[in-house]
Amino acid sequence: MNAAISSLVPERSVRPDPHRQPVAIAFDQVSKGFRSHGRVTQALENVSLEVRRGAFVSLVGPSGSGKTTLLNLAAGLLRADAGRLEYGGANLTGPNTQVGYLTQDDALLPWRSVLANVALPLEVRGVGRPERLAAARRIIARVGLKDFEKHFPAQLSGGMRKRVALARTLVYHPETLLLDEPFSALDAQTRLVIQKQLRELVGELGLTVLLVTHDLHEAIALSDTIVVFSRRPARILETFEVPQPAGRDILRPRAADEQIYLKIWDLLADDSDLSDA
Amino acid sequence: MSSRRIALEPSNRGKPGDSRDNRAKRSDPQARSERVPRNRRLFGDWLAVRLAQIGIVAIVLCAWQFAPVALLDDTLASRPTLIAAQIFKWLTIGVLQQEAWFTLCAVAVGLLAGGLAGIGAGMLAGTMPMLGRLIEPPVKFLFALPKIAFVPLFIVWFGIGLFQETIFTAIVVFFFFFYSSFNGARSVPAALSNMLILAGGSQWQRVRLLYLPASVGWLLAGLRLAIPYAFVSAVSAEVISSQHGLGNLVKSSASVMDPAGMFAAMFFLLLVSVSVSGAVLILGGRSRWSV
Repeated sequence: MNAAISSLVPERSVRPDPHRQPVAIAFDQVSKGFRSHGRVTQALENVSLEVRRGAFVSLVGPSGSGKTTLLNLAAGLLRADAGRLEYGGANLTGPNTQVGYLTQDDALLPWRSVLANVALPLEVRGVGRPERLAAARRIIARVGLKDFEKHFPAQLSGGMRKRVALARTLVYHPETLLLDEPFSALDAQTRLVIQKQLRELVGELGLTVLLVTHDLHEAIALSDTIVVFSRRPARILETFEVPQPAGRDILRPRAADEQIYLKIWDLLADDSDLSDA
Repeated sequence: MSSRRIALEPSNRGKPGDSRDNRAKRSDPQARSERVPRNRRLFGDWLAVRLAQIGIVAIVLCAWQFAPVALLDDTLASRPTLIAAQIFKWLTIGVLQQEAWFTLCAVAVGLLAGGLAGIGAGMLAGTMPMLGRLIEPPVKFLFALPKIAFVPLFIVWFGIGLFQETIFTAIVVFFFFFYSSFNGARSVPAALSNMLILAGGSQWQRVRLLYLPASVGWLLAGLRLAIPYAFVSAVSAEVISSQHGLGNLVKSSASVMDPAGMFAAMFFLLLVSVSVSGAVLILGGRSRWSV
């Protein structure tokens, strides 16, 4: 584990074809409900989904449709009521320490500087002080916050805090990123910059990504695959493949994107009876 | 002091009628002379309040000193000059210092023991929901119970003296620390805790790196309440039954009809308790730890 952390990650400019990669996360007929006030709310029902290594998969669908539950299951923070959930070919039974989880909440510790916040996961994993600070400095520089190492979270803008959180998530080199609407609280300009940075980092580090988002443009711009969920209890309505040629500018809209956007929109509108309104 | 300055700063900035030069000067740390009028007014307010306080105390002391015997019987209420003389006498022979040392020992050890136990139990209950649900109700019941009712039992169990007094103090302050750390730990957002879980953190690491630091603000608030209560409980235990401490000095003076001695012991107790609380307040006031 420690060796993997301290080793340099191979730089990869061209992403391998995701379809040839082994399956990273496999949901097989997974169901999950929540009990409150004596009533069970079914969040997921018989959901099957395979995410291959190195794939960038977005999950879209109406709010409350169990997408966050799906991420929590993949992180091992929740247990499925029924069905099988495999990570890296093995049954997932506890917290999944191979994943990095980034939510709308930055979850930075206000009493720690940027550097100490980013180094925290390595501190937890028992990496020595010089090594973990060096690793934290490297990743902080990579997300463009080199001059802010000594700052505290309260002294940073929302976009900077988000980048600190991203750096902290990446510092221990997780195989998979689980992103739960990470950019929804940011302004449009900042969001675009971070989206681009994220896509670059994901390519460089060869990460598998599960992104929950309400922003269809974000999903189309970033992902290889878009999974559209129905209303609760969530089923998978359809899966779209988005061609992402190497070296394209993700911020630049393409004509083909509009086709996918309309298809997904119609699908979601049908499901939520928006079309009748 | 610094917080007061910060709070006033926004109104200081960009007042209508300010010329650009003035504003520029104000932001320049070397041009502090701009601020003097405001500081002088602040100092004036502070001085007025302090003078009024001193005046009120002086009036009360004078009334006490010069009230006719028909209104204030000095065999029951003594006189400020007699009390001052008693304090001076006891200070020269070291009685007050020695008794205060006993009380302080009970307070300090009680705070330490009760604090550690309270923080430990509160952290356990706050970070493990099932355990929290199990032990919070009995703690709530015990908190509601007047702890002074235990003193006779403790005297039977532990005898008269410092040990009994310290245990009583520890039990009283336990609850403040329990609730501070319990609430502190429970106020930590799940996102922070999940982050550490996924980073591979153990329960103890989560307590050490997240829950404890996140509770510092709560614990300081608890400490501010606990210190006066520690004095109250140590002195109560001494008054009920002890051969040492300022509480015992108050009681033994009262039992021989010596109001000057009683008030002398009480004033000294006030002095000690307020200085300890004040010192902790100053130390704790600098903290900015919270989630």
